[in-house]
Amino acid sequence: MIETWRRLSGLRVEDRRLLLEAVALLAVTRIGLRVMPLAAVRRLLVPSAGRWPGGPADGGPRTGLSADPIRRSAGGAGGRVERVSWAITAASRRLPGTTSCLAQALVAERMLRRRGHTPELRIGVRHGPMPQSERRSALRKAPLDAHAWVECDGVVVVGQRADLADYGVLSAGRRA
Amino acid sequence: MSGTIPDSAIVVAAGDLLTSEFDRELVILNLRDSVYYGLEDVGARIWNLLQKPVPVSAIRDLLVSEYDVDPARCDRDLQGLLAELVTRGLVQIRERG
Repeated sequence: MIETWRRLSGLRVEDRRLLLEAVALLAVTRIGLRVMPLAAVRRLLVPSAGRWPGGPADGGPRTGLSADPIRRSAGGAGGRVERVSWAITAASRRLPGTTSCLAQALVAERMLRRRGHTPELRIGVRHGPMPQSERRSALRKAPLDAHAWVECDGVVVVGQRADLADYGVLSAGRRA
Repeated sequence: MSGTIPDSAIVVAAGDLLTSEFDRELVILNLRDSVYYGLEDVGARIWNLLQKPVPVSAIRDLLVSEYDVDPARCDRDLQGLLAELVTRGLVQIRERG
């Protein structure tokens, strides 16, 4: 406890505020996801969001993304995005148990929108590894593996992983 | 909901869904209950038809013309699929007809 407080007080004021905001939002979102549908949680966090993002037209992996870690800049938009990314990752570490990629993505979307950015929430699926017992059967499909992440200005803000390109992005359907 | 869906009923895919064509499978995420579904082949074809309101009879007629299938069997299978899609909130019945 004392160790954490010392680290917290050593942060810059703005970073501390971001971190506390991320902790609060993540805690609420984690509970929300357990008791409410995903759509309802998102409406609470981002009331103005409206439609779900369309994602790339072909539903496939995005191109032109920077795989590099977000660079810290002196100030300005890039710096803010990186600080939000840091705050959410740091907050997830501080909360007990696991904070899902979905919770992190939903909170990232809110925090970035509130700061004037246009984040894009992505939910993707891929086939997870085939369980050993099923390998001999040609008919069974490997279970679906889902992941959620947020892109902002062409950079993955939360939810980055080495095999991100393997996930097929889900997008809102066309409705008549 | 029990009983068959009338031929003249208009059905359509529900809102609050995300989809992706992935590895020859159509994946649907129902945002209202956070459950994923997969449809393949004919199921995926039917799903595409459901993107606009369409009478059940029109779906059946199209399937019978596109696939080498007995109309009565097609009807039964289609009813089964539609009933499940409706139960899971993926499809709405606009008019019972």
